[in-house]
Amino acid sequence: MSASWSELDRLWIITQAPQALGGGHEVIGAGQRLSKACEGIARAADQARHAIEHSGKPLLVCAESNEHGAVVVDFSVGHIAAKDIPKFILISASNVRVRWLVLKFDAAEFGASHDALLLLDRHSRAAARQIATSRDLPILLAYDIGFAGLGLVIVALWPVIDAFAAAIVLVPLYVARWAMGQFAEQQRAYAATMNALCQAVETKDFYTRGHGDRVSRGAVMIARQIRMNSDRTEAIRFAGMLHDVGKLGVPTQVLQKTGALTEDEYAAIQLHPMRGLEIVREIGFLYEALNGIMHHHERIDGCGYPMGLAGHEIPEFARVIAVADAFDSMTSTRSYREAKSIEQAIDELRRGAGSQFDPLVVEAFIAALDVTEWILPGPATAPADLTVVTVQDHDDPTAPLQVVIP
Amino acid sequence: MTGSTMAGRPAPERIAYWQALDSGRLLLMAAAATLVIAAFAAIAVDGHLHSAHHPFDWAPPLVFGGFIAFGELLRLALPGGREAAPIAMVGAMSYALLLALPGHEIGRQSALLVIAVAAIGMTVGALPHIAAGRPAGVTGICARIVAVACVAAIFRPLASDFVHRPWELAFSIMVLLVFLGWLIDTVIAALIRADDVGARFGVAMLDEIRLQWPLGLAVGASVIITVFSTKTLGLGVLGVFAGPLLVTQVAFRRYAGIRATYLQTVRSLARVTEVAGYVETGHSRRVSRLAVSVGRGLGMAEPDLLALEYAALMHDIGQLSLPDPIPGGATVLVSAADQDRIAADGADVIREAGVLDHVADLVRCQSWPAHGHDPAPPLGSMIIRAANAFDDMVGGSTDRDRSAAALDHLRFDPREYDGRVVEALAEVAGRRVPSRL
Repeated sequence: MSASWSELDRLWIITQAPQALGGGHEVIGAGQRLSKACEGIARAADQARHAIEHSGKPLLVCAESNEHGAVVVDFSVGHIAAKDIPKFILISASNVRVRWLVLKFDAAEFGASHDALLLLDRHSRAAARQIATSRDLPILLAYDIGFAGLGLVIVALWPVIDAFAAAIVLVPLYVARWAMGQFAEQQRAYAATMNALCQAVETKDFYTRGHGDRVSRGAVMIARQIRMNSDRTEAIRFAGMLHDVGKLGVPTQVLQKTGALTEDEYAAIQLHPMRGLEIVREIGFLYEALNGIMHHHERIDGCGYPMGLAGHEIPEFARVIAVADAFDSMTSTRSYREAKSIEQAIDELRRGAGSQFDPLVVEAFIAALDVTEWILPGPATAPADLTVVTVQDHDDPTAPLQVVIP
Repeated sequence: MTGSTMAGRPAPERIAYWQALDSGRLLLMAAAATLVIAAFAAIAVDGHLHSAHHPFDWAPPLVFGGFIAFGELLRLALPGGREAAPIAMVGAMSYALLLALPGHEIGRQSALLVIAVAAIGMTVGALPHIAAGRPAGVTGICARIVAVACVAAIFRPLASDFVHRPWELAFSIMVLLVFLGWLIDTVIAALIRADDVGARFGVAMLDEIRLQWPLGLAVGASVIITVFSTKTLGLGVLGVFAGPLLVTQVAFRRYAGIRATYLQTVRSLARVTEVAGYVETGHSRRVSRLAVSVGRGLGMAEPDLLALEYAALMHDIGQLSLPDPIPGGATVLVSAADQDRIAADGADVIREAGVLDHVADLVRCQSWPAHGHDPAPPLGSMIIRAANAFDDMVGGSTDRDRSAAALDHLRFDPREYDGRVVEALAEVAGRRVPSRL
């Protein structure tokens, strides 16, 4: 091995990656070993600025972390604003673990469309994830082997095949980048399609339009408050959106009925969570999301439906969705009453805590409402020609369904 | 009934392994088996690998074999029910293209040894899959062995000649051979797939290329990185060089995962019309299966087939805007104006998503007659129109008389239903064997 770690400390590569792939002619600054003494960062940033000015192509930075485990990529020295860097890949080639990634820019603000692939070890995951979520960046995290290996591979291959080393090491990365782009695109398309289909389902009933979307947001607020991990949060987002999809299986005349329901009609309503489950059970969701949809009308005291589970027999997802569901129902206008204020609805939730709702979930939701603003549905006035209007709302805890007792 | 049994997934239909065998697969397996047996036999007979002066050099086969097994373990599901094992392929191809190893005599890593090691590695890597009840993936393994065997047979005898020549020469030969290996793997995959789903080979080949080239590029680059770095750094760094590829694999896994979930979601949510009583149970799924088979028969490529599948699944979603369900949900029985309104409403729902406009177009045009409408409907819409009419008349029944009568009805109306589409539909309806995919 001809490159040692000490040499590695001084290795900076800033390249115009796609051109490098194109034949290695325009690798800017590749392989130039800039010593730390000659303001490595400043030189690197300066080159980066040149590179960026000449084309809006992705920028690859190979940087080492300092003794504190931080990689500082200082673009402010080169007077580069974040919005000028369309794509940015950081590779750390260092024997010190990367713990922090610091991106410094002249303009304090990142561009909204900023796009980054960060290869960091597990210590940096939290920090990177924070950057990614606050800037809406797609992010791919690799473990030590991925990022440390890359720098090592480039250095090791340099004496054997020259500048081709950088190009060829980047190929798998670029393919990964491409696949991540496809993934992000599919994810966006997926969310949009899901939304459209849920809306189509909800158009059947004027008053419940947007209900699924709001319950989904409420469930996610609670999930974040009680610190569910990101996969589960994602699953509860979809579970919230789809929780009432089974209502389509309830005959319209039952939903529209003004007087008390017969036992059969009440049973039809009680079946809607099962119907919903029937529709979504083949989606490759987390198993928990399905449970959340099926049990969102169970009550802590065991008087709910469809199965009459009590207390902690009720899956966590279902307890969360139940609170968000009731809250949205109360703060929405219904044909038989005006919308309640947020404070009134919170009082109702507190009243139901311990009997209908899980008190911990209720408190978490109230705490989350302090932090995140609840977007109320717009004032609903049903158009005159409307034929389908729900007269009783099975979700409304303040106006229980009236059932004829034989 | 408990919550867990309710929420449990239905077991996927699985065809017994021997039932899935056909001549193409058998030929492939026979070829791979012949290569492997020949390799083992030659190694056993030929003493040059192990003699008193030269004890068998265990390190390279063991390390590469382990690497291949690890890669086989981390198989990757790709869209369309495909499987790839990029890391195993990198291991096997790098072994086949090995240039030099510090401290090891490269001439003794013969092509037959490479084949034997690849076969053992892949088999060992497949064992945990079998233990976990997943398919063994024998077809994929055989295709990989054949590809690796071809490359090894060409390069191994030449390997020692390249050591003292300029690296550019070895580099170019390697690029060519890596491409050849990829091409063999892809051609085999396309042949098997064309046979499985009844697609034309040309179309299947283009589909495979479209889907496999990014991963193939990553594998090829990784092979070359591995070969050149082991030349100076030895075997120890093999694991490190899998890093970039692992990253690629993670990205691909997520991509394939979201695509699968997307399709499952559309499939499931398209059923809301059934649950709400607008259409007969199973209608959307049957129409989508028919439409996809017909589209494939007419030579449509995979991206178009996916759009067709989505459109066929959601073709009745416009009925949600009707206050009352059509009796039996059969759109073939309602007036042309109503059919057109349902199609337009459905297209509006789908267009709402903002990302499926091509699907919305197919749904929109399904109510147009095949001929005499200006503008003419796209092929996908004509297929959905015919498949929908056929299913409205036949339903889930497998009665041949009933399908024949329905087909006659469609043939009777050449303005409404396109002749080519109806003939392709007749062929699919005549086959009616459940597809393996």
